[in-house]
Amino acid sequence: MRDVPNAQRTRRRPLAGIALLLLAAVLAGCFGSRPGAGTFGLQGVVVADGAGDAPIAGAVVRVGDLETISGDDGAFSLPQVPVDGATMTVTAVAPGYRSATVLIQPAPGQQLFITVRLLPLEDGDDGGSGDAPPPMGNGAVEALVRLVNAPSGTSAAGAAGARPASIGSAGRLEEELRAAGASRSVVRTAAATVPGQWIVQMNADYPVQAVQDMWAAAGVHVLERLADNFYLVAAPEGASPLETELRLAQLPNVVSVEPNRQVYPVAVPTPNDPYFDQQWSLPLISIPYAWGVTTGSRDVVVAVLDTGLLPQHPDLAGVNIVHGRNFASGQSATNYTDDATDVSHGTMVAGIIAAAANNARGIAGINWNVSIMPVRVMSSRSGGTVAAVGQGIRWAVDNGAHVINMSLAWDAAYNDTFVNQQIEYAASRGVVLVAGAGNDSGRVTMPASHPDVIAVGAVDRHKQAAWYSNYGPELDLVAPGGDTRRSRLDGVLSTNLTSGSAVYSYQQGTSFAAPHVTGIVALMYSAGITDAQEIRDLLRYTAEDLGAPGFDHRYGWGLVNAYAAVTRSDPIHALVGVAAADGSHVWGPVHPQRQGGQAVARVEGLVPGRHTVFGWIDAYPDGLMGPGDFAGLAEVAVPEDGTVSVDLPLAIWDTLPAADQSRLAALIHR
Amino acid sequence: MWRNHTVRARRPAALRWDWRLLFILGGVGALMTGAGMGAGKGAGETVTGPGWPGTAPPVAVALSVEPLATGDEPRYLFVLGAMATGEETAVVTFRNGQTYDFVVVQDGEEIWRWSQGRVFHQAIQQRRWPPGELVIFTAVWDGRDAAGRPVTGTVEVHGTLTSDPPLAAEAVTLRLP
Repeated sequence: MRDVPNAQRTRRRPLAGIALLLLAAVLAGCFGSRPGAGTFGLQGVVVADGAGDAPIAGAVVRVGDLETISGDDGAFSLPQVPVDGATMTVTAVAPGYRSATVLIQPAPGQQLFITVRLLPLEDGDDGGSGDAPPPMGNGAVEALVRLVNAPSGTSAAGAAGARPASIGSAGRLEEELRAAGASRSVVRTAAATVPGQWIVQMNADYPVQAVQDMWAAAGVHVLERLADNFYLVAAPEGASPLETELRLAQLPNVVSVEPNRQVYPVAVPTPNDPYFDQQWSLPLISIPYAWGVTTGSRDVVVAVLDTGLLPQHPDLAGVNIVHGRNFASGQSATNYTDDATDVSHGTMVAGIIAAAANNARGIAGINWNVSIMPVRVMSSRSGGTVAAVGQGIRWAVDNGAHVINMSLAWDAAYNDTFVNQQIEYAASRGVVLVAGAGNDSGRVTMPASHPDVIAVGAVDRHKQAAWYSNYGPELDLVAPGGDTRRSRLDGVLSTNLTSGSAVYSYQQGTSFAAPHVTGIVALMYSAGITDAQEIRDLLRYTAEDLGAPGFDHRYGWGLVNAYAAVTRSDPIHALVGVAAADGSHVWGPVHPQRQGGQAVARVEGLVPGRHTVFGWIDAYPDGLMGPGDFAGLAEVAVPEDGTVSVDLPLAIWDTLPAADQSRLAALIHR
Repeated sequence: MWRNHTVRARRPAALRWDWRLLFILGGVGALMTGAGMGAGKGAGETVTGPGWPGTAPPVAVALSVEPLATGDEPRYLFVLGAMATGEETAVVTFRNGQTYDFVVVQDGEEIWRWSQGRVFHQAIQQRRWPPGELVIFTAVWDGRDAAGRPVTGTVEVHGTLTSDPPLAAEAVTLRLP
């Protein structure tokens, strides 16, 4: 964004600086001793920008809760920094320089080296970011930041959106504009612009009646009024971009001028399986977007404790099925195949998790690559025993399972020490256990009700709690389980067996909600998220809150969100700001704090009026707001004195309306 | 002890097809006919099962309890019979893999339940029962409570089709030595 000299204009702490400085950051190499588990090492230097990289001594460098001071050579070191999300901010402050923020994407065990460049303070600079502080008031906003999946009914094929890039003009332009006094700072990124188009933001005093004359004077015409005081304008073909931009920047009442950004489809893999478009349950929980991060790994082993399965089903034939076991009656210990001739429950469950994808046949499993460990603990005909489940858990853990799915249940009133011990053994070994909450429209059944098991209830395709789904304080999450009362198409489609033949069928039940979560856990594993507690926390905090705000007995923490989970998009990592309606001031940004399981961002010191609250999670960690990120905005009326609460849902960028995308891009880059 | 018993109950094939079973099935059929619910009854009526929760399926159920002579230990055979009552196929919904249950009650307290310690899948299933087809579910009880203690005196045996909604047969009183 290019800020225009204007007597009425004030400046804010910019998010733009974050994007700029990320690009300036140099992430490199290994050094020193390796950090411990869950931490990374951070080293770097603080230098003066534009002064031959002269080192800055005494700069305070902060990351997370840690801070250090740069030495005489500008170097600093933080050898053991806890990893706190996919993206963390490093701030550096030094007397005589503007503070700077650098975004990093640490991973446990990683060694990062960064260079932080600080700009010397200019006359009248406030030292924060080059901006004058926004006007102070007594109002405050508390934004409840939560994530949402794609709207229900969105098809996977239609999920792809548009990606605006960021300003991408050359440094020479900045110099010329500086010389013309038209800008104090320009954000540079590597992304392309749309030639001949700009987004212009006006202040509240702009003459609406005369605006057309104003555009004509600048040699542009309006393509679209984006929202309120934002205009998308274009110059005639052949016009000089530099001259046009300068003219726009010098118009009265203009707050900012930003080149429009290139739009191109986001990469959402669409498998060629012919029934994929009938798998409504996958886009409902953002799985196609998660596929943009990972489609799974054969190194991840998912144990399916069930009725056995049919490995010869055409959509399972290509799946890596590892050595399994039978603990149910009627078959040998090594025979894990389902003896059913009609309806193979285990085959349905396994298909949701792992049916071969992009093979031009049948359905797509949540994992395109994964290893399935069939552990037969019950019969399709007569059920099984709690003892067999306990044996199956133990065997799966001892034979390398990372995740255990249990689409089965028994009465929670029946307390069996043996199976409880096996569940706790699995948890102690870092294995993630997932179970359906049960179909009784009553209390959550075992094993889902065990504290070490992720209890999964069911919703229909409209994100409503399914008529049969159990509920209660033990419920963790909900996932698609289907409701075929009106139409079989509203069931969950998966691999099955009818009259001895391999088929596909629609089913309903928490049996089919659980494997959606299990499949997502497997994706998380393949994305490098392997700590069981972190997996559980991420699933909870990234879920789409349904029902009563926060945790409730009907929906638990909400509807699982695959993309948010695999990108570690915990809402407390959001950047939240408040912008005046005319865009002239931005307060913040701040990070939300966890309050009772919810992420609440409090922005204080606001003047009264109608403002825009906006938030962003850099889920696609490139330092730029765009496709793959979570973002959202909401309007709020801030009182003269006091706090106003607002719901701030953050959706995947690609699902946002174009007007919201444009407005967010303009706000976030301030 | 009950767990051992459960293993027996899961294997109805262990029942020998002898005169005792014929007698029992005959008893169930007689119960249903006596209740006016047998196949062929209800001519002129068309009753179809909605197959969805909240509405009872057009199915009649009856319970029979018979002692088995299996040596020193007492054994009791529970048989739950179910039959579609109308002239059309009944569609019966089950909320999970369980389709029936037996419960023994003494002095108002449950002392044994067939499904205790059993695990069922959590897929909602529908079964279609043509009119006149008798479906039976069996279990063998060893005369002990859930803790494995021998039970004496009078007990009530309950048999239930665990459909949605469940259909309970008339309880049978059993006097134990």
